[in-house]
Amino acid sequence: MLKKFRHGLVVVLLLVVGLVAIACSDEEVEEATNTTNASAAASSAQASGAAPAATPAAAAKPAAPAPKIVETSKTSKAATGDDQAAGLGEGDVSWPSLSDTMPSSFSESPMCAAKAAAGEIPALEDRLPENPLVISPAESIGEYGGTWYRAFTGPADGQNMERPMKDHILFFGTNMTDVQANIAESWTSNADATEFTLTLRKGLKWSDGDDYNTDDIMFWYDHMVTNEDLVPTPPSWMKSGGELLTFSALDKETLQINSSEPYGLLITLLASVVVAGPHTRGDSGLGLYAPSHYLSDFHPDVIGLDEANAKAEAAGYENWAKYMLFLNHANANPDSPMMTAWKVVKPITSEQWALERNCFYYGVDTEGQQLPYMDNVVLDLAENLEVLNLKAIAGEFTVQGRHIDLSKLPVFKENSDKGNYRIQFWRQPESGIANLYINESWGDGAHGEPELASFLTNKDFRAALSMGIERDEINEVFFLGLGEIGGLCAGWDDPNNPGKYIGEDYVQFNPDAANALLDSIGLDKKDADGMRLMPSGEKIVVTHSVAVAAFEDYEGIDSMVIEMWKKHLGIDGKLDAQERSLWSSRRDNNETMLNSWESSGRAGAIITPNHLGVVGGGGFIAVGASNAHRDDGTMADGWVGEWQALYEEAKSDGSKYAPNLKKVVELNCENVNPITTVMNKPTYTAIIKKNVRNVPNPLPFSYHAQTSGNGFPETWWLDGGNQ
Amino acid sequence: MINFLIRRTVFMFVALWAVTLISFFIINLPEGDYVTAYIAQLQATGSMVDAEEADNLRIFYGLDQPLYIQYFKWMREMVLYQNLGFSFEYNMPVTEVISERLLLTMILAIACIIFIWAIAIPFGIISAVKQYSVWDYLFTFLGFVGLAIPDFMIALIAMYLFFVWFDFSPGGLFSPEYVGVPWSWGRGKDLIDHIWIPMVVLGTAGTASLMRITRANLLDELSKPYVITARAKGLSEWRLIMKYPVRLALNPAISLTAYILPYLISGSIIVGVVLSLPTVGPQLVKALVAQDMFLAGGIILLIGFMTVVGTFISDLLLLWVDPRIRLEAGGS
Repeated sequence: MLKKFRHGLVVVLLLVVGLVAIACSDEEVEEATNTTNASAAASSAQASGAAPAATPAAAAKPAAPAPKIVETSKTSKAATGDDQAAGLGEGDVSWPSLSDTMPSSFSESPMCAAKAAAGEIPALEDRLPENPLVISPAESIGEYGGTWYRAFTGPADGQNMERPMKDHILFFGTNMTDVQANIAESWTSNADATEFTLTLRKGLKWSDGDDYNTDDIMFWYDHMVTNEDLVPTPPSWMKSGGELLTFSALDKETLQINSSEPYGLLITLLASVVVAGPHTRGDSGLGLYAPSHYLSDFHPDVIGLDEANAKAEAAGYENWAKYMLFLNHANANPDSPMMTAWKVVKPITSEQWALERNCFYYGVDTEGQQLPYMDNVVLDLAENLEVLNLKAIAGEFTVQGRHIDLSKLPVFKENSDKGNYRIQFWRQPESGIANLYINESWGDGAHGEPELASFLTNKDFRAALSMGIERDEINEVFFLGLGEIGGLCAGWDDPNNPGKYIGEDYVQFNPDAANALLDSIGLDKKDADGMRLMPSGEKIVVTHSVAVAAFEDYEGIDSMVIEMWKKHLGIDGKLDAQERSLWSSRRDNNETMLNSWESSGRAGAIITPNHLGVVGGGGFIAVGASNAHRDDGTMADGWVGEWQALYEEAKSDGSKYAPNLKKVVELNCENVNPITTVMNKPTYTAIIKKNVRNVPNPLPFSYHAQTSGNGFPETWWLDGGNQ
Repeated sequence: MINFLIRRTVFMFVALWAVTLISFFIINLPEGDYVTAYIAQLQATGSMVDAEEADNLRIFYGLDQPLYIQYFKWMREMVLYQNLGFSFEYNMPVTEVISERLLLTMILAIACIIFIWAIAIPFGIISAVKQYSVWDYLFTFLGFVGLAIPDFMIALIAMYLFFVWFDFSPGGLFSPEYVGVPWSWGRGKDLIDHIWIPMVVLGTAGTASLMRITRANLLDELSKPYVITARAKGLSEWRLIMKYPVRLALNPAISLTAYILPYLISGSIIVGVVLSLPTVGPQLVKALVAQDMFLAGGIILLIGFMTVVGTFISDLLLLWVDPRIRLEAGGS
């Protein structure tokens, strides 16, 4: 009897466990159903609603190299996002801009006022420069207060706050092309772009109250970037015609930069992340300027080598150079003075990275209120991205786009009211998610086969491959239908073919045209399986080299493309999946035939030519030609050579930058390399509390303009405080 | 006795040296180095590093030198300056990076051991004394459930339930206001409030084995003649069991502790990642992914050190608890 009871107990316990398990699995089924519903809804909204309008014609607007502040053109933001069509984000289109009108008076936040009253810092008029940066916010003049809650993933995640706090000497407007004033209030260059003069704001202060002027730039130039122990080789942007740029300070506010050869691109580079400031690049000794008053105490040129090394060893560092890079790494060293809107108070190496307002920040709104509006920024360390996304779903973040997982969109939407947030997509205008790059130099490489290589360099062959891809299917299967179907040149009218953009025909699924093209270029014979043969009788096999465990599922996407080409075109293919660093070294060695990778927004094609370009070595489109260009400046033949020539021209002549930026991308489109699949997937899925104001809409994304920095987060404010 | 201690100490250092050698070379086995991993990480978040910057980083971190020189430099620093090396990712000495986390890891490990002892030993005793009773079955069942479910699974379920029931995401060991501030009474109390979830999650698996061992040993002892003699002499049942058989049955519990320590630290890696704990576990994973070799090597070395020291301490404890072992060791 008793024994039976015991067994009964075990059975009951098992039942309980079973029930719990079933309850949990029910939950999952429900979520899965929601996923399909939401993605279907999103795609139908896209299909039926406003056809994806042209994204901001960013690159089309020439960057004026004039010293005047460029007013951001309101007309250039054509986009009324498809995000609104899908019911995401709010309707009104709004961008911030710089204002020429100086406010009649200035005011400050209660936090800084209290510090000033307590005598910790000087009064506001002694903290602001004579001519502050006046920002006209996207929507409204804000109110002070509140904390910006975010999360970060560890010390390598410095970009998390470097992006929003740009301390570049010049910076971009929201459209990511117009260079605007920032720390420097104006700039000029001579006619042949060999001499540049930058004028700093008078009376700028570091976050510790010390003066900021050309001494800080010259200290960096004389004692940091040219010191081999600190920076073994200076960055490539500092070299022009093989020689280092020369910097000289004409007075405390005027800096002159001389180049031995025309270097018109310099101004754009100064504004971009390539040069940036010490907050972004100080940890490798770069960043155009450095807090000289702070670092002098540790620099051998000032205190002697022995003492500098002794100080470093006392602090646990091997030598002064390593110590200096730590000292100049403001994210890790809260003592390091900063020029940003917020300054670090708890380092990035701790479990909570915290910043508070910099009462010496040089930016004000149009009513003269010193920025930023939000008092603090607090970032919690997330040991993994699932935890971070769970926190986002729970509504714990004020604004966060970084690390938010797009594939969780259905769950984000479901919980947006409960978490009191809205969702906004930040896209890179005309960026490829998974491009198929044909390496036109493959034939010159160690693994090249001449006959097959001759097809790779044939534009008709690439065009045919492009027309054999069903892009909608890839978009649905891999990107919840949130990508767009279009080419790199979308939005730019083709003068020879009005109403269309260059390459528009090639991104349409058109197997008949594709097969006709293939037949016409000598691939008209087929084997028993229907696969096309080359004139020699050998089967044509396209090998796709992809990196495994990259941030997109290139293995999956390419497998799908291979099947499409087999089915529609009779082109056989195989997948060559490699560990990532192996893949990239083989690619850089010109060993691979076709590589799958993203391309960042077309606006960065010249500043960061890593994807669409054929210059500077490595790359994707013609790796051999790119390597030759890096090694001895050899220009290639054909369209690749044209690309290189346009790049060189833009680099030396600033007025050619914007027109050539368009021309090089058009070369990519015309020559169907890369073959784009799905475009413009949201780069960041930004989770924004409903009461946050002044976040630009839409906010175009790029690396070179450090989005969200081009959205001017110092003007974002909390309507009603933290909720 | 002295000989024994000297011998153990020498072995300890040889074992540690082997750990440094193996960990260093295993970390360097994968293709690429810290700089490649760093570039890959930057690319994944939309940034880029050009070839020159990458070369600068390699020269700066000494990654352009052959492996054996890097290893030699690491060892020299360690022996001469007790310096575990320099973390590339944090740009700080390794000791500074892991000190706080190591402390929290130790606190968590000790809390877990106490939890395991507090649950497993009494339950083991009850299971043995009341063999085949409802309690015996219940504890055995619970113990096996704890053993069978992987602890990261328990962690995930706990997280999910907390999120659904209390709208609270149990990440970390502190409330936001106590993260990264100096130690205080409030902070200690806050830690106690938060530590029990990871403690229970990590402890459940260890509980089962210790409970079963205690039970088995005690059962062996309970049928021995001295127990019957004591009982015949009229010693109270409670006193009898606690004083003699339990004391003997505890030997394995002590020797097991040596293995529980490294198990808890390595086991806490996955749980630490899942629950976002500020322990060395998640840091080790990240250091390995980033190929931050001195940080990873430093952590592995410390885990190895704890295992070796843990074994050493448990040997000493056994010497102290059990006269039979003491005599044997002294005699040899």
